[in-house]
This record gives sequence, C-alpha cells and structure tokens, in this order.
Amino acid sequence: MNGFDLGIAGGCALVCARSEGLERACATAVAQAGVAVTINGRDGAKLKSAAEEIAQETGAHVAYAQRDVTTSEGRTAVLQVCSAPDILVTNAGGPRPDAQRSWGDADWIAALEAQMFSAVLLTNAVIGNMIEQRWGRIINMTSNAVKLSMPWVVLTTGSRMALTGYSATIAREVAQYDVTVNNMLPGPHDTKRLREYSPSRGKNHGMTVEELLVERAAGNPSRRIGQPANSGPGARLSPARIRAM
Amino acid sequence: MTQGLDMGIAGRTALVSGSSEGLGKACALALSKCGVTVAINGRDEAKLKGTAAKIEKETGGKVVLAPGDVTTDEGRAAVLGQCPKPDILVNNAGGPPPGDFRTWDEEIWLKALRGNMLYAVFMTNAVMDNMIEQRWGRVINITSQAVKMPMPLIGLSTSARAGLTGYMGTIAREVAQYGVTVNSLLPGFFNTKRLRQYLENIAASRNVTVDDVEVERTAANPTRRSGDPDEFGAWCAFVASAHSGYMTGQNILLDGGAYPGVM
Repeated sequence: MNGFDLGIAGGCALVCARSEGLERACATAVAQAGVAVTINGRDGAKLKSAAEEIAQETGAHVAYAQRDVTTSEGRTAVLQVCSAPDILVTNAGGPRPDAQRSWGDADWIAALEAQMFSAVLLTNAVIGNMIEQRWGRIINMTSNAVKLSMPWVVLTTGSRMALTGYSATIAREVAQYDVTVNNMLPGPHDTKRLREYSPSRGKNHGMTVEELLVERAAGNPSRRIGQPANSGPGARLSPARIRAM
Repeated sequence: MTQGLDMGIAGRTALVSGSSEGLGKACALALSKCGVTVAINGRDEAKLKGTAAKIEKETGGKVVLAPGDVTTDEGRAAVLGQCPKPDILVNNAGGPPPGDFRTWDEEIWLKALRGNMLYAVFMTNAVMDNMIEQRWGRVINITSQAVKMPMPLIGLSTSARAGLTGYMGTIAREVAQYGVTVNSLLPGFFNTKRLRQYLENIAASRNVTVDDVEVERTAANPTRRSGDPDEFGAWCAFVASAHSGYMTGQNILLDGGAYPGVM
C-alpha cells in the first residue's frame, strides 16, 4: 500500500548528515516522503555511496557536498549546493566524551562552533527564504542529555543547551510565517557515537563494545537501544539476559 | 518513487474513544489512512454512523462502530465488546464545562475524574495485557496543553488530566520492555466545537463577544492561528506507527508554540 502522505513531496531538504547513523536515517526518511535531499559530510567516498544508496532506495534526488559545516567555508559551500531548502536538519558531531574538568576557552569555543554556531548560522542563512515563502521546517538534532544530565559530556551538553535556548527563542518569532523550529533529543541509538561512550565505562575496564551495549539496554525501560531507522522493535534483551548481568 | 511514508501499521486494529467528531475523529481518520481497522466511539449512534461513513469513503478502510459511554463500567464493557483486543488505543473524552472553582462539590469532582482520568485508566488496563502478550501496543491519550500550562475556568478537567498524566508516565516505564508505548498528545487550540464552547464561556465570563476573544487569542499565539484537526490526527498516526517504538512516556505539545517553556 501507499504510505502516509506527509505533504512535503516536491520540496528540498538540507540534512547535515554524516554518511551514517541518525543523520543518514533522517535523510532517508525525508527522501522517502518525496523530498530532494542534500547531505554533507567529510568523508567523500562514504558520502558518495550514501547518497547513491539513499537515491536508489527512495527514488528521490540526492545531492551531496563533501564539506564540514562547522567551518564558515564549509557552510558557504554546502549552501551553494542547496541554497534555499524548505527543510533544514542540523547536526554536528561533538567532542568525544571525556572525564576531564579543565576545559579551557579554546575547548569551549571549538565545542560551541561545532554544536551551536553551525546550526545557528545555517538556520540564519536559510530562514529568510522560508519566511518569504511562508513555509519552512528547521529541525535540530540535540541529545537527551539536554534534559537529563550525564557524566563526561559537559562540552556537548553545554553547547546543545545553548542551541536549545536559541531555537526556542526564534521558534516564537517565526511561527507566524509557517516556519517551525523544533529539536529532536535522541537517547541511546545503535550508532558509532554510542559505542564510543558509556556512562559507567570508567568503572568497567575491559568491557567489550557488545557488553557496553547490553549494559545501556538493560538500564533502559524498553530494554533496548534505539535503531536509527526505527521501523521495528529491533533487538530487545531477554529478561534472562538482564538478570544475568 | 515511494508515495509517502509507510507507517508500518497496516492491518492493525485501533480503538479510538470520543471519535464521532473533533480531534478524536481526526485521529481515527489518520489511522484509517495508514490501513488500520478503526473502531470509533461516541454516545450518539446515529452520529457515529455518519462519521464511519465519511471515514470509510475517504480512506477505503474498515471502520467498526463501538457506541457507548466510556466513562461508565457498562459503557466500557459494550465498547470493548466491539473491539476487545486493539493494537492501538486512543483515549479521548470531552471535558466538563468550564466554571467557577468555588461551585465544584465532591459529586462534580468525581464525575470529572471519571470523565477525564479514570475512564482512560480502565480502558488502558482492559487492553494492556493483550498488548504485552503480543509484544506490541500503543496507548495514546489526548489530554491538553492545560496539563503544562493551567488556564482559567477549566480546573476540573486540568486536574483530572494531570492525574492521568501521572498514571500514564508511570506505567509507560513498566510496559516499555514488552514493546508497548504509552504517550500523550497535548492539544492547544484546534478548530473544534469544544474550542468554540470554551471561547463562549470565556466571553461570557468577561462580558465581551466571542469574536473579541477569538481575535485576542489568535493574536497571542505565535502562529497567529488555531490548529487544524488533521494536523493533530497526523501526530496520532505517527506516534501509533512502527517508527515510534523508541518513544514512550512523552507528553507532546501541539499548541503553535503557545507554551512558553523551553522544554
């Protein structure tokens, strides 16, 4: 059967997507709704194959820009490929989780550049057109850490909360022009980034990646971690497995 | 090219209470568009038949009539008799009329609690074990923005719905491991009969016209408009969809940005 008509076919989206993980899942879902998608990322080969695969899977037009949106030049170049998107999905990888407490000015500025300014400046670059055409969607991918503080992610959480404050403010300013601004706050999903970080890693030396994932799943009410393209229940731990931990 | 997003729930069954009109009807319609067999409910059977015919004509889907008053034991038994094992349960019920808090006695309070809280608790409990057993289920409550942002004159429904929110938040964590999610949608102002009634009450309490209240209220909303029930129904369909399996215990505001809090 045909799917649910999201009413956005024919539009175009800029999805700040690495070639994998949640960003790719967003790009694919938007493309499935009949939207032409531009993705970006730093690894050219991976990006090209991701674009080809999404296009093949969905039939949508998928362009790509091998650029880093955390730099001014990168943003300019990406916006040349997709200058007037109807939909902007922002995301940028953050610094690695680290227990260090002595973050200095340079560390903070780098984190803010990556996880706040890049989204703010991309938004500002495209929102004028959205207002003019009286339709637009801005979606920032932040983190559940914005609502639920966690150890080791102080730089990313601080930066993402700053972005949250910014987007909440402009959301009320542009709503009257049919432009909406929202954030999605992922909890643990089965991505590379999750595998780099587990809150209790420090006290579990020698845990394998698999053991880390099991630990994260057991601590979640659903007993699983999310799947980036969530169209099913994914792997769920058996009660016996949880009790055994 | 694919046409639209496959919600992954075609062939499933939904029971939507309070769905002969307004937001409940919009939810039933959106679920029907996803290929879900929908049992619709209301107290007026003739009106319910009309709604069923409209939905069936628009979507080509199957609609089951489940008339009855879900705020009573007998009513729930009758409704569940028509649809005993829904995969998706949408709890919706009209609220008590707005009024002066000084006039609410115990009887009025109990009626409000039955009408806006307990009915949803008992409906949910009646279908939950089957959802757990089959390792898939969706419970979606239609509450109100007033749960996060109380407003004048509607303390009865706000209190009952806030109580329901507490209950649902609790069980959401208990049943998540079985693939069952429990979420609530919090409507702001949508173009429905209930909104009109609320505006009439506000106008009467302030001795101004309904149009005055409407203009003032619309101007105060960041979107400068009221919501379209179909916008609400689409959210219901997505929360019910296969894609929303990792979201539970949430209260989703659909209010045009009216609630001023950041999170």
